[in-house]
Amino acid sequence: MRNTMKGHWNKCRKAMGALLIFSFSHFLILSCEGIDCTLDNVVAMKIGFYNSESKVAVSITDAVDVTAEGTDSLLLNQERNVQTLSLPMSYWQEADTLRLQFSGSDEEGNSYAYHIVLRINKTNLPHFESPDCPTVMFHEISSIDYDDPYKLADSIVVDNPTVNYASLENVKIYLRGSAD
Amino acid sequence: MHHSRTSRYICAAVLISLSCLTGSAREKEAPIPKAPLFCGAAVFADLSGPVMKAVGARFDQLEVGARLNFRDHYFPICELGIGESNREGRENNNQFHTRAPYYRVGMDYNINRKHNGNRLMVGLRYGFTGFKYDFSDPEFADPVWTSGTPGLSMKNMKAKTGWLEASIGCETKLWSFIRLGWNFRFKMRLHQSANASGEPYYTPGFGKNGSSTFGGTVNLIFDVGKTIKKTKAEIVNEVISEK
Repeated sequence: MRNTMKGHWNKCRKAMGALLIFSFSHFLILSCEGIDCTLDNVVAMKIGFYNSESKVAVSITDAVDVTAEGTDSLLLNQERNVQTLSLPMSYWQEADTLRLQFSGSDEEGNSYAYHIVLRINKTNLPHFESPDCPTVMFHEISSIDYDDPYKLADSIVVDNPTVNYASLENVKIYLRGSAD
Repeated sequence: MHHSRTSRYICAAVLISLSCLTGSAREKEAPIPKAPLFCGAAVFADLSGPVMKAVGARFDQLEVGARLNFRDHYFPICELGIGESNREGRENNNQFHTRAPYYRVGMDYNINRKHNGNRLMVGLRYGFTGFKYDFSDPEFADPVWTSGTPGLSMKNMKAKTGWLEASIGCETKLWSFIRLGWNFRFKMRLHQSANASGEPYYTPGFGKNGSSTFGGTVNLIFDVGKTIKKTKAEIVNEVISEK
């Protein structure tokens, strides 16, 4: 009888030991947590320039300025030799109006400036990954209207409507002839 | 580094539990009598949830369950609980909140052939939950178009998740109809639908959201019905051990 009691007590002690170790390991598992945020977390709309005939990407040698309606900030300032533009989009507006200005001077030294105005219609989608990570805004481009008084562009198309971390080219501007 | 240390502790826990069972098995070498088809039922409650709540863990759950016992080997089981998480970002003021019920059904199998009150269980469960979650970022603001009011609050986003759990654990009889057991679980997410803005940080019953995770319970078990009385096999075993 005494042996049986001792056996029970030993079993209980082993069970309690196992329980303690398990609880400790359980706590360790739940305590180990890193911050798993996406490192490449820039959300920007990418606009690419192409030759309308050859469909080949072209580099803009003129100085490019980009301004937007609704903000005093200059989105791009005197950028040269650009093939693509990475531009922020508004968080809450349903459409962004951007003015792309190309300026330079000809061989005789006369300065010139041309522009295209883009109206990008979109929906905005807040995006979060975890409470530890910064919240960002994704966008879905529904359509683009444009005003091109200098007839610089042959066509402007939406290539990838989703603006997110993927860094894909969202809009293609096909420039006429030797516009570069 | 963390993971290797954690797995070392888990291995130690499993080995001690196994030694507990095999040690008691060595004591008796008698032929094993067959347990009756229906050995009773049990209800249980998870003790780890209230402890997690008390120490302010990132998430916690209150869980109870019930199971049947066939032949002292097969244990069809159902578990239900309420999972909760109130989480603030470590380096910002983002807030995540959810509180919702979850359900699991499955079966445990006792691989200890002796009917000596100790059980080494392996099991499989399917878990399911449908829940709503909130996320807010009070500092969310457009850095370029600065006219809007800062702050983002999304409430009652819906999600549904189903997952599979493989478990290993053991339990022992403490006194009469009261048992204590624990189990360690590997959980694998099978399907999830969530709001397009983002997946929930925590899924009730599953744990931190992801394709897989680990978990476990520490159960206080109460045998009810038939098992309160000793089964024939237990009586035979006790007689043998006393001899």
